[in-house]
Amino acid sequence: MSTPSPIRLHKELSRIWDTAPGLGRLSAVNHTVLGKRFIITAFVFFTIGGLLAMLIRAQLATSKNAFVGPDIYNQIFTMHGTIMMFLFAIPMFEGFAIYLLPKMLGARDMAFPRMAAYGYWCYLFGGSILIAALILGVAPDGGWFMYTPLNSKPYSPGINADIWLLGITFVEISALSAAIEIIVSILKLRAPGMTLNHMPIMAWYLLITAFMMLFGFPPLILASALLELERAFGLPFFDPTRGGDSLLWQHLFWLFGHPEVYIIFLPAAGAISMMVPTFARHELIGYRTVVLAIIAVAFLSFGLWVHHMFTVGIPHLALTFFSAASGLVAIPTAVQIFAWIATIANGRPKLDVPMLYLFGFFVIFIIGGLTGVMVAMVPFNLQAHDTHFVVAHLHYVLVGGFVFPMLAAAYYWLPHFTGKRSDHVLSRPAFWLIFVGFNLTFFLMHLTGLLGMPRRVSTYPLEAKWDWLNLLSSFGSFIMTIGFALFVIDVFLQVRFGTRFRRDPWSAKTLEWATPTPATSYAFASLPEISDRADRLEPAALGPKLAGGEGYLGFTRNNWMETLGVDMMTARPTEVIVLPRPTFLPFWTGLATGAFVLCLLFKLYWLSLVPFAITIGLWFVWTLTTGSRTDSAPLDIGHRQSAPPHWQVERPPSWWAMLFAIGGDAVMVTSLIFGSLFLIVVAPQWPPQTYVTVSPLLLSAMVAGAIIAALSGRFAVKQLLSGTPPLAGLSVAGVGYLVALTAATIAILNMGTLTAHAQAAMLFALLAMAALHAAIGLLLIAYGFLRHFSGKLSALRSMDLRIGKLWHDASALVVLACVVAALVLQFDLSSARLR
Amino acid sequence: MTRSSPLLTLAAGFTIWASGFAVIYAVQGVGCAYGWDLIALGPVSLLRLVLILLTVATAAIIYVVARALSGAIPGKEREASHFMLSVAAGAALLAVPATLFTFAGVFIATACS
Repeated sequence: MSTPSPIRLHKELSRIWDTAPGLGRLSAVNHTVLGKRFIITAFVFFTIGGLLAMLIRAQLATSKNAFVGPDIYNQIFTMHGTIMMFLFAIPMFEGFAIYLLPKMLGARDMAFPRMAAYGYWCYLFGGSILIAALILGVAPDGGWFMYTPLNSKPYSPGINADIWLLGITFVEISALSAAIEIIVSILKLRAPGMTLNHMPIMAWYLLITAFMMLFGFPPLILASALLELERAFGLPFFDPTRGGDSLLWQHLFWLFGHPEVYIIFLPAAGAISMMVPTFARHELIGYRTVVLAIIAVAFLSFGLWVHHMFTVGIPHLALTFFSAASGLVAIPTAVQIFAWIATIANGRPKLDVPMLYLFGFFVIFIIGGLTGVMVAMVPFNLQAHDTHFVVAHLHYVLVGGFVFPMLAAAYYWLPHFTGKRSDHVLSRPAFWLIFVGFNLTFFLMHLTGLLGMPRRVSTYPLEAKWDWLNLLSSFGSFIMTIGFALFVIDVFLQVRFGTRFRRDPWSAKTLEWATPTPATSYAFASLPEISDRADRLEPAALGPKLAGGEGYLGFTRNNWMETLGVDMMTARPTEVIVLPRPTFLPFWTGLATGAFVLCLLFKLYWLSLVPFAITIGLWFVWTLTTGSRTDSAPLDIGHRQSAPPHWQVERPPSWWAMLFAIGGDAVMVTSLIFGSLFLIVVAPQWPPQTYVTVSPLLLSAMVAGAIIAALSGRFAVKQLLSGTPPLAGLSVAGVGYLVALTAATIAILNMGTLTAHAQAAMLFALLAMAALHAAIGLLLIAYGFLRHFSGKLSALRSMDLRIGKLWHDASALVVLACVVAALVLQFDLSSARLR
Repeated sequence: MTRSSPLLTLAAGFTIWASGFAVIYAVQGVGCAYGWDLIALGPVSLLRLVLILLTVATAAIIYVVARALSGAIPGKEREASHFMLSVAAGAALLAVPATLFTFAGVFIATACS
């Protein structure tokens, strides 16, 4: 195809890719728009969380302070932690990733734009539920980590804890969808020639972080569901008087919660790894070693969750595992810091504003890391646990490891967002106010902590002699707030009055600076070919060539929103990915999901089936515009090359997305089985007085049904590939799932009371998990029929059935695993316990 | 390497470390619950012996995998594969001392307290 003139190409691409104005903004699926929305929304939540922090410091400024009572104070500190962790840090990094990744990788958008939009609405609606609860005075008040039994029904009878459990789970949907989208986008949507070893280092950071999210969040989602079941229906998963164990909550929570710290830090470290080389004017030293260090951090961070539980009575031997891993993780973290220092030392550094904020990062994060090694040691931890020393440590890590790098990143990439440069009048005083204010606030907390001041107390006696340290801390926090206010004003001034520039104002070497600034909706008018490391480019020279259509896909076709998919390893173009146009469907689906969550919150369980059914129905509507009714010849991609559309290749992005979703699902199922075994082996009040059992016939029917579904799903694919309509395979698979689902339902209905002992409750949870997988399988079978009858399946267009096959196979394994675990639960294994 | 294997090889060493972690922690819990620490086998208890064997086995398996990955590193002309496999081999090699350090307590610490 011929390349139109640059101006015409720009106009055609803009017509196809731009989001409509007015109410049409609700239909946005574009990564640039959504990235900005995530960032701005996260900053609004950060402001709310910051205001709550001010209230905390006002309350703690002096002893016996009556500024707010303990009930309100509990809500304030719980919401401060919840907002900062779930509504600020994670979404802020998602926003940066969604905005920057396609531009850094040389793609026109993320792999699943509608999922990103849906994720945004889930985040906004879920977060709004929490903020509304705060305004109404019914916010969660049992600590951001929701320990049981404090947050179980007898001790938190109000709606407060339910708001956390349901609202945060709603937001987690957003995080999981973002994780899958980031992984697939990095692996598949890169510029031709950009092999994994050529990627900008930030892509490595985001790839590994997204995997951590995929495997870290499911335990929390599971734990939240179990606690909500306990609170709503009395199933005693965490009640030690009925065979549950409150430590099970802690294990599941911190299995998410500690990796979460690194999930927050690593993207920031990725941003640092992009900024340091730019300002050192030297490429990153030790690219390969840094990748290795990120992998090590990612894994080790999953092996140290119990260091949050050192004081709960776990045997010393087990504590040594987690203490060792906690100390060990400092090594690969330090490797990254040494790589940045080496880069600066080998370059010709210039101290511009982002580097000033990175200086703040180095100082604060290293202090936080060192106190982290201190609290990783069991004897010290026993002394410092639950004191303000830990509050100081976690703020040094999180503010040092995320907020300072993000402030640097804001100054670094803001010109990309706005097309304007800052005059930096306020950025330097803002930095010093934040830096000094932060250290005054939090360094002193090390001392109050060592003097014995506990966390989460709303007041303290005069005799404790913590007054002057607390007063100085509060004074420092207000200095820090003034700094943040200056930052906001500075950003506003830059957006409104900044100086315009042409391209690449920092002389950076990465691809995002080759786009027009502010970025166009399509990012690149044509896609580049990368033959070297993507942090050795000349964006100022490359940008005009790409804008002129000299790269791949330098034309428009069928009004399609096109980008290229590449082979994961060789980075050769393998497919033309046709992305969905702007649509209101993610918005409506997010609203329906929000209505479902609200129904659960207000215990309107039967009514909740309505928004639930609408949500499922809308998911089906999403699929109506995708795919094709005809087989297509390979499409021209420019440079005398061609590639098929993505629906005609063996492993398109959606195939990979399903594979990774199954990976996250496997973690969820494994966590549930771990929970069952944990209760059998560790929980008090075992064995139960009477074991609830399920008929082996029903369990066998569940397994048989799921296996038949998996085999028939495979047969359906074979039928399709051989040119036969896959109706027989799909029908038998559907029957298989119906058998499994019916058997599970009968088994659950015949279990009798589920509230007497955790054995029955866990048995129910395992059967429900199996039933859920069968139900999703059934929906995928229905989807297969829909695609067949709408003419979108052929031997060449078999993607939909092959994606279903992945689920059917996994589902059979999950049903089998749940049934085996259910059988184990019915045997008396706990009578022989000595402890 | 097949199309999906690069990521698997990158994670190989530490995945075995994580699996070993899960098994060793679980066996420690089960052993304490069922009193394996009270069964003496010469100078050590049954529980300690099992945990030591598991630790050594985990480290040995990772070492074998690391050697295999090192041996599979292609020449530098296959730049991407060279990079991926050298990182994978490096990660696996690092996982060996990480294993021994993480589980060193099985040799000395009180098993059930």
